[in-house]
Amino acid sequence: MWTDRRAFLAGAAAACLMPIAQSLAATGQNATPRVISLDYGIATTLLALGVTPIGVASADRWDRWVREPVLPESVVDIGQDLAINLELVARLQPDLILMTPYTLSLRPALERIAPVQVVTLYAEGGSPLVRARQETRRLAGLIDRQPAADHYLSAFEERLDAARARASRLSPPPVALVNFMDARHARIYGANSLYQDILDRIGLENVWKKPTNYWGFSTIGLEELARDAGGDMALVVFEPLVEEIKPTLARSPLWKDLPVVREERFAILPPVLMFGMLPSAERFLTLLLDHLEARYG
Amino acid sequence: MTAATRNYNGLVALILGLGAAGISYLLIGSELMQLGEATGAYNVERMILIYSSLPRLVTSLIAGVALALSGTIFQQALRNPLASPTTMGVSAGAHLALVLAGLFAPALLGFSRELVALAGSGIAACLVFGLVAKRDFSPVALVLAGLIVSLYCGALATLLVLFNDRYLVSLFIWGAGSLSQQDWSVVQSLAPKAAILVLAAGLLARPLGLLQLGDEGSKALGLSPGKIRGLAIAVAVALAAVVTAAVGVIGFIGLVAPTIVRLAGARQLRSQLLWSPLVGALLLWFTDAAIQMLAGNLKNFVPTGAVTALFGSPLLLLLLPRLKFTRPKAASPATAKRYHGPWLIPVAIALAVLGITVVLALGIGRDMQGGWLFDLFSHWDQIAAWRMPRILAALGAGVMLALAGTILQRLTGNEMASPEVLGINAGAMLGIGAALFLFAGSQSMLTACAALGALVILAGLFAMNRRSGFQPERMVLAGIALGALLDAFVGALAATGDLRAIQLLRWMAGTTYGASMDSALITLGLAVILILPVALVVRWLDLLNLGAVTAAVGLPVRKARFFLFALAAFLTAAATLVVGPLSFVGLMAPHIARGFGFQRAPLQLAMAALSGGVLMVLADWIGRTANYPYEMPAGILSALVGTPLLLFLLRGCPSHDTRQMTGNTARLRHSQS
Repeated sequence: MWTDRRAFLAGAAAACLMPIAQSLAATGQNATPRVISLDYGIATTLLALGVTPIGVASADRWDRWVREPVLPESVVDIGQDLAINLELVARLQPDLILMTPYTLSLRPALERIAPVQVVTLYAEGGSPLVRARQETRRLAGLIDRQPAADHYLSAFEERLDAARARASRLSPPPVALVNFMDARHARIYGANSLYQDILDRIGLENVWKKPTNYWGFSTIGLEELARDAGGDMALVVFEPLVEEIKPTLARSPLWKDLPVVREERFAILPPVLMFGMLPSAERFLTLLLDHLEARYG
Repeated sequence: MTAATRNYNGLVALILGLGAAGISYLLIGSELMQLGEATGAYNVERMILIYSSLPRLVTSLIAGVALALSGTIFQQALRNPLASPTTMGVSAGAHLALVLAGLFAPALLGFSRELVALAGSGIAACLVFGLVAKRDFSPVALVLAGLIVSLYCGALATLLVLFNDRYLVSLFIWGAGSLSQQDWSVVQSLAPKAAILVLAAGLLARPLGLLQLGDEGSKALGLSPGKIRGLAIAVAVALAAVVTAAVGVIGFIGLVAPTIVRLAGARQLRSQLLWSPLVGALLLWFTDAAIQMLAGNLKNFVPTGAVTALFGSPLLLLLLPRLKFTRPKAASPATAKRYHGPWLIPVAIALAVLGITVVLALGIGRDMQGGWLFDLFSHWDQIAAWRMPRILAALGAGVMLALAGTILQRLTGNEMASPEVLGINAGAMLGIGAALFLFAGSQSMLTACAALGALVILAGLFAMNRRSGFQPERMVLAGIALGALLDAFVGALAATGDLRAIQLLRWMAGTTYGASMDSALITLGLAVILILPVALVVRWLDLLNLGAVTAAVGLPVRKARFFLFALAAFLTAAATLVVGPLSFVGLMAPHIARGFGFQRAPLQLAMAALSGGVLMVLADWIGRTANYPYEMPAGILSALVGTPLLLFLLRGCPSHDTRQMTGNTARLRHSQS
């Protein structure tokens, strides 16, 4: 732990960090730092480490996209991620602001209020799961919650092992993990995504083996789903489902006559944050395995 | 009687048809051959053929017919070779209505998409016609008004979309019309409506053709030209509306097809009404098939509607020189308000209003619980840090845009001219897009690239228009066409869901958000610096509209126009970097000044500048507080706020001077060309 912190302090962003380390030392080790998160995934990690953020971007949509862990009432909605309300953030007097590269354009403005740290989950090469673990440790260092992080990470590994055991007892067909974007198009998750890493880890097969984009998904039309539905698959559709989709799905023979739909080998599951960190990975695991066990156990 | 011209439309149709059929064969030929063999199991290729590819093909044909027919009718009824659903703002109006309904009243959409689209397109058409009624529907004014309405409807729709978070991209895909299908429902819904409207168009063919005799001739035959025109336009609007309701905005087919048909030799209306739908259908089929072939995996995501703009816009640019400017009728002397008092009084009042607005904007905000409070003194340090830069930036941008707008309106003699239409925003967008996608740039790099892009476009515009002597209206139309082109390009990019494209679209919404004190002071400084040349040339603005007299007074007209355009361009570019490409202020502020009676250039400029400042500060304030803590972009907000104001102002007394200016400018152009 000590080497981690020292190595971190020696890092490029060290200059920003010194005031934090000093102020935390001054206020006592277990004082809760006032942290603001511009990203849902980071916020879930903070909650997992026992720190409630004081502000989260687009907090009003949390239930729609993340759902679990539950966002406490005290968290302030600081506006939309690309246009955070700077006045409000200044008024909240945070000690630390966390963001992903998506909102880097806001960094100069936010650095006037508090030190900013960037958490990167998606980059060229490497796996989101591995990065999620690394960034969880780094976050813990920033907010002085290393013991909680250690505990959480080892518990997470245990859950992964247990999940692997559960999965090995089943013999499900390959899974297709999908979010509908509108009545005609869907996102399907494959290589480079958090989901894929999880599937690999617990030994399940993904239907989608074609190349994906930077964030680990491909955008396809319903037709293409039809094309790849020739074989056996367990189709998993995650909420939220745009309202206008439902009549189309009820009506379109492309969908209705899909073997996987006719034989009802598909399911609509509650929302999971697809670009999240470890807590979302856990939620994904639980939802998926519960469903597969119910269907194919 | 002219000698009969050869009609090559058959040849054109044949070529297009063969091309489209050829590509389609490559795409679906093999599956088509096997159509007869029915298999019990779910044969993917066969399902896709029957429920996706074929409906898509049929939809493209129907939509092509409807849009081309709509364009022909528009062009005939309005005697305007550039009229089309796109250039009349009709499609964009329908799209905006659909977006609004989708967000605020989804039940309406469930009830009838077509009615919502019809309402939107009808309102847009009325708006466009209302704006040019006083100018006797001059062709250029009409197209200008239509394209501007298109621009703003599209921008408002984009703004509404931006309220959804990044994970929701469906509205993007819809916005640039997509022909992608997954069952026959769209065909089943669209075909009967289109058929009825085509029938109605057929019935109107004879009366419409007789209108070519001129209004007096038609009246002599017992027809009411106004009614016929109105009916024809209604049919054309409806055709565009049902297509937009079905597949989204598919631009420029309604312009390209009738033009091709006319250029290929169809002179009579009946001939045009026959060939135009055919060519339109084949053209859209060809385009859609080509996209499917070229886009490969992305074929469901490159919206056909965007691609048609990519070839329709250049066509618009090519057609501009052919556009015959009909000389407007001599203006009847109308009483126009005119202010005759000392200039100090209105300027002082305006300054006071500006001061009060700034103070209120600085002081009134929202607190964490959402309540309102006036905390000018209690939170001065926060206000100075966060609100002051935005307000100063808004002020600077507003002043610059107002000045640019006034210069452009006086230069072109056209009330609808506004800074965005120079295409500056298109250039800046290009620059920013390049920076985002190629360099993943920082803020300052984005700014530099935006400026570079703007200058490149400007240079291109100037190069294109040098020969015509920088005829103002041509420059403006060229700018709009360029803007439409780049809009479509960015729209197609955003449809792929690429987050950088979404960031680009966000920037297009225009915002004072995030302005630091440095950038605010730079903006203000630029405004001050650029005011100096404006002050120098203010006399030219009055002189340039004297017509033939101008040359006698010794004013080098070409050089003066060039300089004024350049000035307007720099003003616009500087403001665009702050508030993004879209702001109604450049359009509204000159009107506000004129509406109060300030007709002479110096006073109009000063009052417009001050009004512009007030408007932009207001827009910024509303953007900051109305939807707390969510930010509404000031640039487009000014459009939301300004439309009713603009309509109200334009309804008022026709401006005597503008009409005279138009008459004189036309005479000048005529003598120069």
